[in-house]
Amino acid sequence: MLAGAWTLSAQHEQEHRDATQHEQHETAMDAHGEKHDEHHLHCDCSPKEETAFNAAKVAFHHIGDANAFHIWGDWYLPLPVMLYAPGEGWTTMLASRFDYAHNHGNGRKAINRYVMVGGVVYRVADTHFPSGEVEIDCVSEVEHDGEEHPAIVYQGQCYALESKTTWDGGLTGGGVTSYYDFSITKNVFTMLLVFALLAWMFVAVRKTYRQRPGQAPRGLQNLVETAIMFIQEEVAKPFIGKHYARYMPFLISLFFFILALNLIGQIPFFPGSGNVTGNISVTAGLAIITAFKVYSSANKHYWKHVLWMPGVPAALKVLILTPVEILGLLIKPFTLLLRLFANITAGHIVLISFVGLIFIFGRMGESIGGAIAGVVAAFVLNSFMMAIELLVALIQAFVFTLLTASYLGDATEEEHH
Amino acid sequence: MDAIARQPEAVGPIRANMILTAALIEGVALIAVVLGWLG
Repeated sequence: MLAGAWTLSAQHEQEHRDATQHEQHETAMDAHGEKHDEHHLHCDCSPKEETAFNAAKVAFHHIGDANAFHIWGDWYLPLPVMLYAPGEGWTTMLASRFDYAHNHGNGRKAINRYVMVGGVVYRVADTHFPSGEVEIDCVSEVEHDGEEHPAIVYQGQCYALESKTTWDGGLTGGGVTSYYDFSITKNVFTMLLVFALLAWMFVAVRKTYRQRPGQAPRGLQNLVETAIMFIQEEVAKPFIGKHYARYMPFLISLFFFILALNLIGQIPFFPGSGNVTGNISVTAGLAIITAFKVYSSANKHYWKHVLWMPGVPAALKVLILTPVEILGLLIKPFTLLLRLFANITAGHIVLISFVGLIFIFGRMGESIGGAIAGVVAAFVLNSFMMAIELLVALIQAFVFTLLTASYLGDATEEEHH
Repeated sequence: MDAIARQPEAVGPIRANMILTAALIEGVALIAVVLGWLG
């Protein structure tokens, strides 16, 4: 009876399972979807019923990175895919080789066990899956722990896909992938584009300054000069003090890079649709660079004050103050990272959800009147949100730069009594 | 607001510090938002 109740509860957990299939209870089930014995996964290529609009799923899909730029309708701009699997070597190709035309960005081919789902490259977890180029039946999904994970069907069998590597190395589900992904994705492409634009802008302005020395600024010079003077007067000089000129290039690069990435992420169509600063890896990279810069320009006076501050009894220092200060050394860049990431991502999710109102009111195409009401509501709300987002883009770039200048100022502060 | 009223010529630094402090507090709120996404 106990065994009966056990199998009944296991069946109840996974509603998608075919009732006639006997499910072995996964006692060895861990958070990694790919560790399941694939004969017990059930997914097929039958068309799915129309479900209610899932705003969260749509939002997270749109703010995520992808290997192909979705431009309009069925047009995708394929980007280079460069993957390295230790022991197997490189797989480089253009994303179009996955043959995803007219298929919502789902590839029809698997190449060296890599597949494309919704414009993103995944890998089949099963190492016995054939390598080289094979045609798969379709892209589907399996449900696991209440969440849906992508999977593919090949020759009638369901194959789970490796989850993307998470920042904790797989401790809270997901896991480390078996390959290194060096592809030019939407985010990389957008960063290179922003780099090119900023480089062009700064070089053009520099040339104008050379050609017209001492004259009133003209054109783009006005904008750039205002921004640079603002950073110099309001941010660098008050916070860093005497040696501000040493750090001006870094602060200006940081400010313009973050501002340009924030703004280009607000444009809803190509070339702006990459959500770069909303990607935690990008902000983490920025925070690591900033931390490296701050701690490498810190002088002895700073380290003495942080690690062994004068004027405090030794017991207090060892027990409380020094550990707290060391934590603070890590937490300060971490908050820089989180602040930028969360601000931008939250804004994008809200914007996409407001557009989703159209579909919710129109009940997925059933009601035109509802859809029109949704369009009006979404238009008003989105105009409001996008105005706020412009402000947020500016403020977040400014605050990142300001805090960096503040930390730099702390680090380079001279001895004063 | 009070500080600006007491010393209107110091509005520049006051504004900069106000924005900085607001962003720090917003950081705490946003950490809560991120933890909401995680859970």
